Amino acid sequence: MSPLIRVVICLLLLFPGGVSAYGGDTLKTEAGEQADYLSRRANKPPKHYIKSCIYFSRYGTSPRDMNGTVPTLNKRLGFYNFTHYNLGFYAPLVTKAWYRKDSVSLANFHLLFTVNANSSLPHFSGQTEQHRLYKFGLGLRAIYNSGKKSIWFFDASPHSVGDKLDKTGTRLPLYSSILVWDYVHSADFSFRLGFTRTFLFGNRLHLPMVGMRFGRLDKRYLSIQFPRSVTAAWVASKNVTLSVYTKPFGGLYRFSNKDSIYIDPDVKVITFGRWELTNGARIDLNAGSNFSMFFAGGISMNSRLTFASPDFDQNSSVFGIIKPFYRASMKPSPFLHVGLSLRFGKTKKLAGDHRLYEVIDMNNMYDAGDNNDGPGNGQIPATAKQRELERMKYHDVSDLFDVGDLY
Amino acid sequence: MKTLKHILLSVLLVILATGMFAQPKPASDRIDAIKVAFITRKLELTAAESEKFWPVYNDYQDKRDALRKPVMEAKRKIKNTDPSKLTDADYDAYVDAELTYQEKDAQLLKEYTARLRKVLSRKKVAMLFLAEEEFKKELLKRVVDKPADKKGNN
Repeated sequence: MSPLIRVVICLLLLFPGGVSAYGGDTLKTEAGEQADYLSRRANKPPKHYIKSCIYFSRYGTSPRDMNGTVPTLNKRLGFYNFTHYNLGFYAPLVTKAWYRKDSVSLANFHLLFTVNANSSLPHFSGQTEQHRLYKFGLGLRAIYNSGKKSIWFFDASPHSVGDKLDKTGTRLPLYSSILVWDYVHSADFSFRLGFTRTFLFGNRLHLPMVGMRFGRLDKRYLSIQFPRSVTAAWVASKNVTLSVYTKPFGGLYRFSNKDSIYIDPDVKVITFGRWELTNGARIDLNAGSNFSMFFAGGISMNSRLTFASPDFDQNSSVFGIIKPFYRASMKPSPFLHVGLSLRFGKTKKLAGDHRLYEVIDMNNMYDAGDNNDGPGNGQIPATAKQRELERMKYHDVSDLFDVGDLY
Repeated sequence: MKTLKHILLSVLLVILATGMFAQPKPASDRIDAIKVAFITRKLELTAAESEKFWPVYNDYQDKRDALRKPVMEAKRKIKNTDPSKLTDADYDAYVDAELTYQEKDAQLLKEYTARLRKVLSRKKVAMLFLAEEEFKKELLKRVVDKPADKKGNN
């Protein structure tokens, strides 16, 4: 079953009442049941702060020369270009909010379910048959906002990778995870420390995470998050966010050795790792808090790929760095990255609450599936300008008034 | 296999589209953001005050909205239904919901005012009450000053 179908089935199972759920919004016609119905409807604010989100993106580079450690393989592989399709999803499963002992600090806990499926197409011009690499993962993440200065984030993303060219034996389970502690000093500054097991650099790495953000998430900010990204963003309006960034983009995959990239024909499966440093500019267009899309372009630099074989790397273990038999570096290439995201579900109010903005930022930055390809911060409302008040229409505000307001 | 993929994707898109259109008006999100700017300015909230104030205030707003929802639904029903089809029970349901709301809202306001007094000075809590009223008046003024919406909502 393809990863895409699995994602769709998971979503259908998660939201079986996608359509029928709204039936509850219509009043029952039986007059006698009115009072019961109304009392049941009362006192139930929305459960979650984070909206469920499904996002899709496509990334592609242009063909480049291979400059690898095995000249004969360079010739055989020819030019290299890369295309990547990513489908991600997250939904809050449990959200708890409570006042701490001081009765004014509102702590909250969020448990989210994540799904990620992607298809990576490394295209080698010298090969007649091209490899279609896939990745599929289901994960869980927990975020705890202490209501004071600390936020804790933990994500577990077990996933499976493989090669559709020859599915036999190429499937491999992998596990990536992130643990981050975030100290929110103020709306203008936060500091993060953490640890990650990641495949983002085309190898199995265990890295510390250090980051800081200067400036406000709903205005303009500079966010330096090693090893994930460096981003300078400007929320130009409620609909537009502009940013420039540099971030690594890569992964580790299983590769069929059908075309004998590894010299020993008895070896059926090898490991393919790739990563590149993407430096680009991005524009996010937000139509409300439920839909956004982005366009990004720039230069991919430091592009590396590796092939490894357990046969070659005799000392490999599940915690060690994989030792490849072939490494190649490529010249810089332009890239194009586009995506869209849909958010749904009624959520609690978060306007003005900068700790919750930080929670949302962490949830989107550390995307499902360890791809470094998140949906962006479309749920964070931009700071409103005075003129927006003037644009309000009657039907936008009519429900806000009571009779008493007119006297 | 391809057909199955297309069917599942179509079903997913229908569900997503339904979900999207069933969302509350995006204007409510914007009103919240505008209100944040308005209240911050009126109360001259410092960064430290904002940090403590907004979570509590948003929580109060969520709870108040939940209390208000049945009133709005009952009101809408009375407004949108042919009067000949409404019974006394329908009218009573609306009035009872309104009374319940007024009563519970007063309790809620009392509870949250006590919380807000721990976060803001007495003066600023009083200013908040005034700012809320002023915000409504500002909205009302904008709406009244405007020519009728195209759909005749005004």
